[in-house]
This record gives sequence, C-alpha cells and structure tokens, in this order.
Amino acid sequence: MTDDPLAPLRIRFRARAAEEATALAEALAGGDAAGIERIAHGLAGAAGLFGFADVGAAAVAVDQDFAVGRLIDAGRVERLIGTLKALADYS
Amino acid sequence: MPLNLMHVDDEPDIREVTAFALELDSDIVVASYASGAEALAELEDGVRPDVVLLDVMMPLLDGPGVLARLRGLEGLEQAPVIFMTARVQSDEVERLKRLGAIGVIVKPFDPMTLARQVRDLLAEAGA
Repeated sequence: MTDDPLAPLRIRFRARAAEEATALAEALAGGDAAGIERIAHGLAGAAGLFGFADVGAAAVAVDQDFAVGRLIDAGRVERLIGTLKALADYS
Repeated sequence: MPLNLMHVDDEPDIREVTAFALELDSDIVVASYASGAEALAELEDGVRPDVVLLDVMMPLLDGPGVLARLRGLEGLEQAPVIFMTARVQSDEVERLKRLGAIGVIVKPFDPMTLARQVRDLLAEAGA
C-alpha cells in the first residue's frame, strides 16, 4: 500500500520503458527523425513528472536538439535508450 | 464559482497527472481532451471554459494551431490560454506568449503547485 497518488502511473510508465526503448532504437535505425522527436518529446514531459530524472534529462537533451534544429545526435538518442533500459530492468 | 478548465494533451500520462494535480484545488473542474481536434469540436459545440491549458506539441493540430482556431470562435476571442511545453528556451517561451497566451508552464511541472501556477497566471492577466 502507498499514499502516493501517482504511484500507479509511475508503475505504468516504468512498465512501458522497454517498449519505448525498442521504439526509439527502431526509429534511430530507420532514420525516422519524426518518430525520435515524438518519443523523446513525450518522455521529456512525462519522465520528470514521475521522478525518473535520468530518463527525463536524457529525453530533454534529445528534444532540445530538435527544438533548435540540430541534426540528430545518435549518441544522445542511445543514451536515452540506455536510461529507458535501465529503468525497465530496475526492480 | 468553480473554475472550468479545458486541458488538451496527447500524452495520457500527462492528462491524468494534470487532472489530478489541478483538482487538488477543489474549485477547479477539469475537462481533458486527447487532441486539438477533439477540444475544438467541443468549443465549436458551444463549450466555454474559463481557461484553456494547451500542450504545444501535438500531432496533426498543435497547441498554437488550436489557439489560432479558438480565437475565431464567438466568446473565445479573449479567453485565457496557457501553454504547456517541455521546451524551455526563453525565445520559445516568448514566441508562445506573443501568440496570445497569458503564460507558459514548463513540463515537468510540480503536481503539488500546478493549480497555484494556473491561478497566479490568471491573476497576473487580470482574468
């Protein structure tokens, strides 16, 4: 039992992390910039809200590249994938 | 008098947390919409919220697009609109305000203070 009203959403977010990592990896491999932007932008807003600071910071870094019109930085996207995998593996 | 707030965001998690956070203020009534088109359909049907909280980046019709369209509807010409965005560059915030928003709330926000932020922006705008 928990008094945290956001706990169910936090659990759901964590349960989806592996899926998000896969989708992001596929978008990166396929050069799907719009897909990367959509996923990173969503994570940038939501991850921090649930207290997943590593995912949030990595997502913001990718999202900011799009915001200022920079080319996709594969290293940043891979870092985001790594934080999502780490979150999915955490138990 | 309750404050009727329309919230539009394509992210289901954000919609849920936003509704939860805003309704910590028992005088705020939240109606959530998953897309700009869905929200505009309600507005075109005559729904008139006291304030509209709009995600900036949404597929098909983004927040600025919704704002432009709602300004053309009777009774919403001056309706207070607040954008929510994860993009925090100051020029982006200024750009959004120039579009006619009374303010911009940055995501991730603090659920415990979101209602206060909205009320403060409304007070600053004299709305």
